[in-house]
Amino acid sequence: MYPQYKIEFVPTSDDDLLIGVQTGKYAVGIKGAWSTDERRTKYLFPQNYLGASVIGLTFRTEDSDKIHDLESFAKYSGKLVPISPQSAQYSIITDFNNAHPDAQIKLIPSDVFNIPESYTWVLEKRYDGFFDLQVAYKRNVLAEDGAYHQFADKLSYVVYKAIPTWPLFNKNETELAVDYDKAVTIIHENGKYTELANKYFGEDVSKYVQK
Amino acid sequence: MGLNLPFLTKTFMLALKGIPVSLEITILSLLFAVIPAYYMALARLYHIKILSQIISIFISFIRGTPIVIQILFIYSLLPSLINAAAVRTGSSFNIFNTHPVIYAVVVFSLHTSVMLSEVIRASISTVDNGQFDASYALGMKQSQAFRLIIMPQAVVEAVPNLGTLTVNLFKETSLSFLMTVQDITAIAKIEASYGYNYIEAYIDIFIIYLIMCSLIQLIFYIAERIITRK
Amino acid sequence: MRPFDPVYIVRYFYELVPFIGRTLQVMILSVICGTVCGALLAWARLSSSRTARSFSVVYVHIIRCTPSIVLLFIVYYGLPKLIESLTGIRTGYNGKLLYVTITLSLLFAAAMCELFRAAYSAVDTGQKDAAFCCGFTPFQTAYLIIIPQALTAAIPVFCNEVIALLKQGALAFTIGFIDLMGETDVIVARNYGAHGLEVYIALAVIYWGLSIIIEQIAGIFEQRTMRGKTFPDEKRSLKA
Repeated sequence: MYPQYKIEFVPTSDDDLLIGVQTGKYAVGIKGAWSTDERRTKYLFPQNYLGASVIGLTFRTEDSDKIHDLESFAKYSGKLVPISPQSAQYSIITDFNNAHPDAQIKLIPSDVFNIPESYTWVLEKRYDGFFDLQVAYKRNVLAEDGAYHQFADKLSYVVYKAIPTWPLFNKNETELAVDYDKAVTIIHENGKYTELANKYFGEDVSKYVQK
Repeated sequence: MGLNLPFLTKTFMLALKGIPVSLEITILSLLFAVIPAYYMALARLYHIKILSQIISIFISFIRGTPIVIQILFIYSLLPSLINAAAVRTGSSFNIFNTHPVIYAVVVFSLHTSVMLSEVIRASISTVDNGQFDASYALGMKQSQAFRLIIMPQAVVEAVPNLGTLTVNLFKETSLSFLMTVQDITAIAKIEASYGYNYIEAYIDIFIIYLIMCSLIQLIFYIAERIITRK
Repeated sequence: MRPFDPVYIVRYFYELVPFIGRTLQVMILSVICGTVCGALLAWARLSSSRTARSFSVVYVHIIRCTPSIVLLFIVYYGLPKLIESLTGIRTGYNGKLLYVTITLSLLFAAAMCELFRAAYSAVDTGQKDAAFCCGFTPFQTAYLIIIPQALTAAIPVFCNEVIALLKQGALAFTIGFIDLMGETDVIVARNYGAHGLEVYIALAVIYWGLSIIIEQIAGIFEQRTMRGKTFPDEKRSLKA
């Protein structure tokens, strides 16, 4: 579609991506990033979002009489698995806590291992809830070959909301961002977006996003 | 470069609050490590059967694997095992209530005891053989010889290496954030996440560690001066 | 309450082994560069020029007080900017290997400087005096008298520093350098975090293996330079 652009994928860490795109080392970074006001001052956001993350709470099935959503969870114990402050999950819970002064979730900041010890921690009652991406939950617990499938009956999941995710552009890359927007609009129109979404997410995640 | 100076100074002040935590972990780890390190060094120097082999393997493992893995084992794996055992025996002991700093101290004590034992071993072997001969010739028992003659000389040798060890330990405590401990690095990173001011945060971290490590090195330098003067 | 399948340890072990080459590559380059620079720094430290001495002291001090990750980020982001401001050339060079090697070399050079300094002062001054009296040139003194004697004490410390460097190299994945540690991260992300414990165990085994090999090699060198020396534990009996 846009042959003048040559894409090079560079896998790297969150820290490096955030600093790198900001300083121009990378033109664009894709980390399923959500939009926050501070981010909008540092990076260039295109008009169109890229995908959507469905985020929710993983908890023990035995608590399902007490936990139906984030508020009931907060009232029950609010013991949430620690979250990395760099991730947008952190700001979402912070927003929740600000909006619900009577039902506070115990938000603990921490550098995190990228392995899902979190599921084990919930199972063994170290924590009561894990703010989890739906796609990770499906992959790890529900899927037949998921690592935690053997515990599928012991874990439950409730959706909180769907957040559109954006690629982060360096502030100078205005032209790239405009072309990106055009490309995204085109693939939405010709159905390629739904096709790709189904392939990688199992469903068209954009339908979850409130317009 | 366009650095956010207000953020730089504000985060600097906030991150200073993490210094007591980092120091606490460093000092506690050192204290807990001393006795095991001493005996491990002796066991290896005197080639005590089986024991020195086991210790060598342990030392080799702690030195040879990245600390991140040791943290994973101690912070996540070990408590799971303890918890499972507690549940099985019907005990009401809740391992998960342990304060994160305790986990950090355990990890770094293990690590430091290994590093320290190597320093002690090296320093003892630099003490001249003649000292051992003379002590035994004077009729001293081994423990007396060590306490009165060998160790004082070994300590003098060890001080510079101790300084290095302490500085390295202090730097490594920055990994405690993986265990939710709020040390210098943690506070700076948390502050940075609000406005994405990572460059400023890393500069703050750099400056604070530079100051703290300089202080630590100064202390050991003075200690070295005092000891060699005696 | 934790899924664990030892089979995966073996499988990931084989997936990780090809990346040992990258890790070693960086290590060996850094050790060589670091040792050369360290020797220069040590020489500067002992020289009569005050500027040389100060530079050496300050450099070593700053490097040793900086956490490795911070140094890595400074080199990775700062160096291109520094070059750009000095020469105006905007290098778009993103080759991670270079930056990681530079960072590790800087770290190792500081460590080597201290090692050379300690080894040098451990050799009895009488030796240097005697060599002077025998009419040795400084170079001959260094090569024939000082280095052989300093070597025995230096080797264990060198071994320690190399192993420490190995572990510090493990942080390179934070700037996206795909070595052993980086690949581990990639594997974990690919699986959405499944089998994380197994991968990390495989990683631990590999790192442990590497460090044991380094220790063994150092041990062999130590034995060979130790001819003619005895230690209390070998000659003395335990019961005095």
